[in-house]
Amino acid sequence: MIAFQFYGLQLNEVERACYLLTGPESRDALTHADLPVPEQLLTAEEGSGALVARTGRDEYMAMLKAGASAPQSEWCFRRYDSLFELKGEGWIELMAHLCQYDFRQLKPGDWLMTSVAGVSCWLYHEIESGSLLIGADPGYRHYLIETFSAVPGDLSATRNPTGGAS
Amino acid sequence: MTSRLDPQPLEWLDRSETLSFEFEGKAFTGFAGDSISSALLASGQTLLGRSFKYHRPRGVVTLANHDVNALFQSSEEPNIRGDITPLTAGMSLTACNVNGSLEKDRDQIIGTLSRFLPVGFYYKTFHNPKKLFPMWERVIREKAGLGTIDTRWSVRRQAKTYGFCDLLVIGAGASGMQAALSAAEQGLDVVLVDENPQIGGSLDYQLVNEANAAPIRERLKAAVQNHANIRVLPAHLACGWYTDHYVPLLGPNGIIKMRARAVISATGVMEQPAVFRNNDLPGVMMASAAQRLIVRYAVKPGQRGVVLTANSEGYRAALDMVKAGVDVAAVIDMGSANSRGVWADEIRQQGIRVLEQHAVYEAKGKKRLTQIVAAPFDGHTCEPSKAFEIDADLLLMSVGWAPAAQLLYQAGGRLAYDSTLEQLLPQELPEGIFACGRLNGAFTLEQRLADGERAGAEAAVFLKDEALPAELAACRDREAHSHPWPIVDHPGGKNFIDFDEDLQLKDLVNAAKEGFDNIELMKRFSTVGMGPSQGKHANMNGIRVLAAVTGRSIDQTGSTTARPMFHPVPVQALAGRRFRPERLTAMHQWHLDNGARMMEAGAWLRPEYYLPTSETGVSDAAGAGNLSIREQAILREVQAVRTGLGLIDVSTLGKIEVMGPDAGKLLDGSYTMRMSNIKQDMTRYALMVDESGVIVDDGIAARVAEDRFYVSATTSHADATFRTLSRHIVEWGLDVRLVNRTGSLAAMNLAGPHARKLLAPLTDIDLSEENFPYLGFKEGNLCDVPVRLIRVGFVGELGYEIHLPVASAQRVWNTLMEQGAEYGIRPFGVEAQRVLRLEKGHIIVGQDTDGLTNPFEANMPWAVPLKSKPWFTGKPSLALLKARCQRTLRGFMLPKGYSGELPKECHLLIDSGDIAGRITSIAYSPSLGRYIGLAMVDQPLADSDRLYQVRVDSGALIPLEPCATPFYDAEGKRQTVDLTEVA
Repeated sequence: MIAFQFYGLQLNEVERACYLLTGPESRDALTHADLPVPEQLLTAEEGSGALVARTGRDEYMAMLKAGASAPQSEWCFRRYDSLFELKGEGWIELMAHLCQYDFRQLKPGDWLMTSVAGVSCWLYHEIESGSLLIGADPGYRHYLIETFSAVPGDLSATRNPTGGAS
Repeated sequence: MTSRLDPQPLEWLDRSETLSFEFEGKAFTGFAGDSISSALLASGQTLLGRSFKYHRPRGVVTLANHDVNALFQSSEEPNIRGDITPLTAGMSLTACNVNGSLEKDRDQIIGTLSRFLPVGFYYKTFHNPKKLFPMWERVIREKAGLGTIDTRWSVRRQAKTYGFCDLLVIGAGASGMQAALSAAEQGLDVVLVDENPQIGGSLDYQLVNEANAAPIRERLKAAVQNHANIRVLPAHLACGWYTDHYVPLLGPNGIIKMRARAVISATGVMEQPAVFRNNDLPGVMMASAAQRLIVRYAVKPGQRGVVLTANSEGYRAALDMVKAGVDVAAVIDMGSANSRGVWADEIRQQGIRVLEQHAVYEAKGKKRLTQIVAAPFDGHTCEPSKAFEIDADLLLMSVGWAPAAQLLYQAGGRLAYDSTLEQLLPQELPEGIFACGRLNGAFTLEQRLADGERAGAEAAVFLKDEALPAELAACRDREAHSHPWPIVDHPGGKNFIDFDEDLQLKDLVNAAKEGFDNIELMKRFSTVGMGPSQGKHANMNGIRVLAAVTGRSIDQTGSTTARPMFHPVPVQALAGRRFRPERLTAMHQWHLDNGARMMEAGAWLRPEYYLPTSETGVSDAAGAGNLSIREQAILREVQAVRTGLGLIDVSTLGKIEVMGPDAGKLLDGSYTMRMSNIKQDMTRYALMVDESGVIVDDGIAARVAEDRFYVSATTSHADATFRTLSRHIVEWGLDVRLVNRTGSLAAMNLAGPHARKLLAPLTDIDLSEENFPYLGFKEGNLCDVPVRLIRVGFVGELGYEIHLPVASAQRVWNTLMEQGAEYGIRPFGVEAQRVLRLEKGHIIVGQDTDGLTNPFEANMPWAVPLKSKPWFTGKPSLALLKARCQRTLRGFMLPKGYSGELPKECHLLIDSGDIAGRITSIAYSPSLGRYIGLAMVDQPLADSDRLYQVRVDSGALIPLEPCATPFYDAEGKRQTVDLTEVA
């Protein structure tokens, strides 16, 4: 587990049991597991302590609490994504160093799949905490931790806008 | 500090902090907030540099980031711009481009030869004879040039960030600030950017002594700083415009890539020099430069000054000089003073001499200005017979302006010459681009504010998708602020148009007369505008000269467009932060702890070989001669696999789950061989080619169930293979689901004669030959972890590829290593695997193939069932290519006992003096006791029985013996039967 703080920002590594469900049974599997089923493509819903994102026609990613039972479906695959939770008001400023997406557009409850620091990631803006949840292939865990740790050093150097909107 | 003034109301200095520094070996001091140039001028050092070609003395000209003759050299950095670079304590600087010292530059003599160095001299003189040009080039580069780069440079990178806004306002002067406020009031998210460290623009330095400007200045600055919709970015230069309003903002700590929905250019104007003899002497500067010196740095620019003007701003500058204690000897007006307004009246009231219809004919002095020669001026030429001298050490030029319109040009805007203002003005602007302020011809403060208000409102309306007629010209002035011909000829020359390149008036006239009479041609022939300032104070006068010579108008003559980025940008800023993703397997730390030397394989890091501390001194045991420690380590790993047991981490392989009723159909169409008839629990080699028949990937396809396959792909092509399969599903309308499990599953390959013996007690899978034959596939548990086992033979021994969840991979790896100790198990890396597979004659896609290799060339016709399979991707191409094979992958060996220079991969085969192929793989085979390899050989040679000849690094030709593959265990017994019987 990692956790570090800078400029009121905090990055924590979090544990969730991630699954990918695909195929015609996937929707029913989620329903039977009492998990939310997002209606729109590339959206996510929180519920029952879990986060479920719809990533394809009948493809879903489910992030359950660690230790929770997997949804029952033949085509349900365990993923081992590295998950990070970025907290604090300045996370948009931090992400502006790592990703060319305009994170001001990412509202609470929004789901996004994009490249962060050159790595394909999924991101979710949590509704209650306001944190940014970042998931990536576990092989990139080390690289992402190193990169996230290096950026704060540049934040102070580039934190130069003034004005009422800064 | 001989020229330092008392504190000025808007100065940038922090007088509580004195900074010491060195210039040309002498000690100086300045204040925090000083630029290098201002600190030197404050200390009385007016000679700051030497010119590019003639090594003439030069000083401050603009103090606006365009002073390219006041560039400095530190031990780390060349070409430091003195006019804008903040002074820091301990700086040790020298002048750029001097031979000897700045004061006694031996290359000054070149100036006396200038009459023999006309425009185009280098092109005409040094290219004939051509063979001597390289020598001349060295001489020219040594004599002309800028700073010296320290070739021992260290890597420096700056941050790179992304920014977004509704409206980007470039320029935080009066009009820019007003435009930002106007738009912000409409609810827009506004970014206001200015290249200077403090906002205010000319409102500060030009109108600092105007009482009515003070409350406006305070109101605007406070309003933009406090407005909830405005972000202010001082010290950031918008240095280019790219499609969809993507504007890089260069700041002291890197580049912000700003994406705006609309842009307002309030970039102002650049003051232009007058052209007269010796107009480059230190002490001759733009009027705005002198104002900046006083206001920002509290530096008195001279003791006795003259102002040459063609506008009211010159009189304002004269008044400012008086207030700063400069003895203003005269104001020389190139026209009439009657239209210059209240500032001219005030000058007269102060009794200062005003010379109307006059111009400066010549400046005099050796290393700085001491005297000017003025003469009557009829609007085009001076009357030398009536010239007279005025003693002065300061001459301010206030003869006109050029728009800072680089971004407008880049965005596709069109500017046209306005004969009322005698200035280029925006005429048509592309969608989402707006302009205001002096750039747009609004010169008085009232006009600038009104124009800013207008531009902000128009931008807000545009962003709300509402229509509003653009009134670009609504707030423009009706008085000229530029002279149409601020150029005075002189028989002695040295009247410079381009200070960067030392181009004189006659150079441009001669270029035009020689036929380079198009603005683009003249630029390239004469190099006008091609120096570090990119023509910011040369282009306008250059256009005027060309227009005059050709008899065309300014608009007919045209203008060049400064490409983005229009201002020099440090490479460290362009480079930005480096994102180089590094992907690690679950066993990465174990590899490091056990002496692995890692290598890159795409984004992955893989063990190349292992060198445990205990073995770093072991001598060669493989019988291959004098091997390096690395080669010995690799050979030990090879031998372990051949005689005992080896374990390699192959987690980097692509792993794709293919499911659905059409899964077989998808794989049949995507791979050369039929996959839909693979029996359950069996695998098949999977070769993928593209539409042109070129090999792009290979792996193994396993049948998990009737409607389910598990496919592996090469490390570097895994993602591309997943994308290809995904595309085929859509294109062919198949009912298939794919899951890329590459990152979620680890994989390891246990290979060697004892593999089965080690695995059997650890798994619930029946490993017997009957139940689990070669190329078989089984699911079960290993060490209580759910796994998939695949009987593979890539390295040519009994082997099991173990695929399992990444979370459990390390535990299983550890168990295998512990339990395998009794069989002599060793971890092996990529290099040993390459040797092992080479002994079996197996190719590596990307190493033994290139971007044109088809399966026939790779000697794999068995993988292309042209007759038995109706269709697969690439089949039509391969059907044609089969009969046109021009090269083939062949095996070879070095002669037994060979001990000479070794060939390397990519060394060329030579046949009858021509290139006839290349080596793709070569390695020492401990199993055969000699070097073996693969070579892509051109067909005539490949079909012959002749020895190959390879040219090695020394140039020698080494013989290679062609031979059949596999080199080792040709019948494949070791991977298909119980090895205890054959070992």
